Amino acid sequence: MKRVLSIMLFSVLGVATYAQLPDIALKDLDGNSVRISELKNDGKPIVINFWATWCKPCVLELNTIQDDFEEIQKETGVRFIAVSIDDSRNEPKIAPFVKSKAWPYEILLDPNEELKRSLSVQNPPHTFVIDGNGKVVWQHMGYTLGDESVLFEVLRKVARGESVEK
Amino acid sequence: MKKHLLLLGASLVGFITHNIAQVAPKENNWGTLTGLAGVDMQYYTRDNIIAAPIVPEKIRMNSFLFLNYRKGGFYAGARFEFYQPKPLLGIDERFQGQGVPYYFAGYQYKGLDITAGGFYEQFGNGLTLRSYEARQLGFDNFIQGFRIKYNYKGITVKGVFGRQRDFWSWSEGTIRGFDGEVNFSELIPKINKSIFRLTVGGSIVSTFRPGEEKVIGIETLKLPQNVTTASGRLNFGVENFTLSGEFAYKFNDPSAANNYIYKPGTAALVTASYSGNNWGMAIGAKRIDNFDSRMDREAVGNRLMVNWVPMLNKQHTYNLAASIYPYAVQYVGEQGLQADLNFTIPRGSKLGGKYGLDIAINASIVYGLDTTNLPARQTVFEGDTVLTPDRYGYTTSGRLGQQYFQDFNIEITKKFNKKLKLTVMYMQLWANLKTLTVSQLGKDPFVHAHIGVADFTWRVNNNHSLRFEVEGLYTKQDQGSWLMGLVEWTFAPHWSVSLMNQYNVGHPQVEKRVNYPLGSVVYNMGSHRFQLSYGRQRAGVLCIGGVCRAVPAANGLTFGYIGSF
Repeated sequence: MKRVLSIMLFSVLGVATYAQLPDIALKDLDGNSVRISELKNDGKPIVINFWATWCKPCVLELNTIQDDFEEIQKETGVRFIAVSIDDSRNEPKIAPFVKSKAWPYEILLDPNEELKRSLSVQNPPHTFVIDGNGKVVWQHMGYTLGDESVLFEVLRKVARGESVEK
Repeated sequence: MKKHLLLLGASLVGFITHNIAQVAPKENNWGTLTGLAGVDMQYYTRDNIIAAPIVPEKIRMNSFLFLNYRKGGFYAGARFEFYQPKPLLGIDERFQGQGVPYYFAGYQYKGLDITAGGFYEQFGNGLTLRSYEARQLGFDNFIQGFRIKYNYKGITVKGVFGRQRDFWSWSEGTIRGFDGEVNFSELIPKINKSIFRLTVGGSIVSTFRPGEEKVIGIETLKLPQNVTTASGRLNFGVENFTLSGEFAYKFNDPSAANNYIYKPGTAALVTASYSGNNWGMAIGAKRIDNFDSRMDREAVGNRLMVNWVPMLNKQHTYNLAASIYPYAVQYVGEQGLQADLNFTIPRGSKLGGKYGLDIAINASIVYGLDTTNLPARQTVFEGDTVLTPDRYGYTTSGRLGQQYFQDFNIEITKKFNKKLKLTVMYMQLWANLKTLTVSQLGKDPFVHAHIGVADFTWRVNNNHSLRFEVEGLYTKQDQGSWLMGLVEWTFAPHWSVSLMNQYNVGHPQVEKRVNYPLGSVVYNMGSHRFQLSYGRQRAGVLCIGGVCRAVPAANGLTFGYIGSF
């Protein structure tokens, strides 16, 4: 049993390169559906960041990225999507919260964690970088001050078409 | 037999994935496999001072492996769970065991999505149906059966049919549900171009639970085997203003949760929000009356819940504010109000400075319903006149019942420069211990507390940062006052070390004024995270190294791993 499990785990790690995005529709703050599998950015990188209004490190991360966002956006052309996993308890508060912080990100709602589950995310914050071909090339769990520099470096590489070490 | 099947299944998955791994070309012709694995292991030591439960098996473990495969429109997945020799303290012991309870396969084609096997689903706000998983709480009520979803130009319909997970078995009853929603802004281009937004939806959920009769004392109750819940919802917006509401009605559903009464249930939620430049506010109201829906009439606690009622107070994360007197929704009946205001004093202004000043104010208040029990009925039994309760239960007036909860809080965050940031929070809390999940002494049913928090972050350089957190909870009731301090050093991108202590400084019994020290080391590697902690834990939400999780009360050594690939 142990051997079988370890083979399984090993094989999974081996095959899990180049994940593609699932065909799930999430709503934006206006209630309109956005199909995740159809996300496009003219060959430039896309970031999908899972967050919640109650998650301190998430808010710290999005605030910190905001400080340098204009610059990094100009440099890499990144499309930054912040997916809130707040449940219906906090859903009405998301728009006021985001607007009060004047965050420059696109906000999508995942109240019953459909996309979160589909991308195998456990806890927020969790960040994915998708390259120009729609493939997940990098992901990171959690946030501590300084992690944003790593993300920016990944975005620069992806924008230049270089490969990224996972 | 079961064990052999499990082994066979595991070998099969192993064989397939192994072979895919061998031949998988970089072009991804073989589809996408993602996964999530988690291990939580704790070594428990005896601790009489904090009255930690004795754990004879010393080490307990919760772990799982979830695999998710996609190729084109096809998807499939399964989750192996392992809780041995028993689940961690605080997790329902009925989870003890191992197996693959959750597995599914499905197909998506042009907005159509068909799933067979296990699935999670929510209709509207969850008043009629919500199946979800909160692993740290030991909550999982996915449905096993069939689901069809269709989405076309703002029209969404969903149908579900199945039974519910009940630890390692299944509910005896079945659940049938339908949900429909029309987003007129997406459907009609003219509305889309206007300043208006409108979405209308509704759902019907019917549960079938076998059993026609229930004998209570001298009464024989005739039970409805099929119970229907229906709801309608609306979301209307004009520019930055949004009004949304949902109303749900449940036909008679006598159960253990409502003492076997036949009164119909109702639930209403209304929220309004407005966002301006650099500010936004939301106000909400709700009223719940007899709205506990389950797949088994006898089920209590978190078992076999069909629906979910959102809480109407702020979801706190600071330790003392979040985990000593958290509010739990009273499905039997409650009514409440909440107001939430966020604003930022803009960057560049005198008060705002270079980075702005964030202020969040929130207030909520919850009362019970004002109910009057109907007079008991006289029944003749074996020649005697006996009183039996009126099975309609009670009537309600529009007035407020007993107060359950009240919370006022204000949080201010100021980033002084690239290196220094300070958050301060003040909260005034009023709680009725009858409604709380955590109640220790029970002498005084009410608690009035003041909570203060200062959270200071010093970014030493690009990778090193230090965080200091001091919290105090002042109260004369229940366990008395608490103090808490935390120092956290993070070295991005991998390491995080923290030391925390909670001290029950004001406990009315001097010998119970106990310290709860806890040290943690976290190593983070991309989407893999390892954590080692040692010390005492009080039940609550713990956030270290950038991720939060719920931790049960105990003393000992904890190892945690979570990895996503």
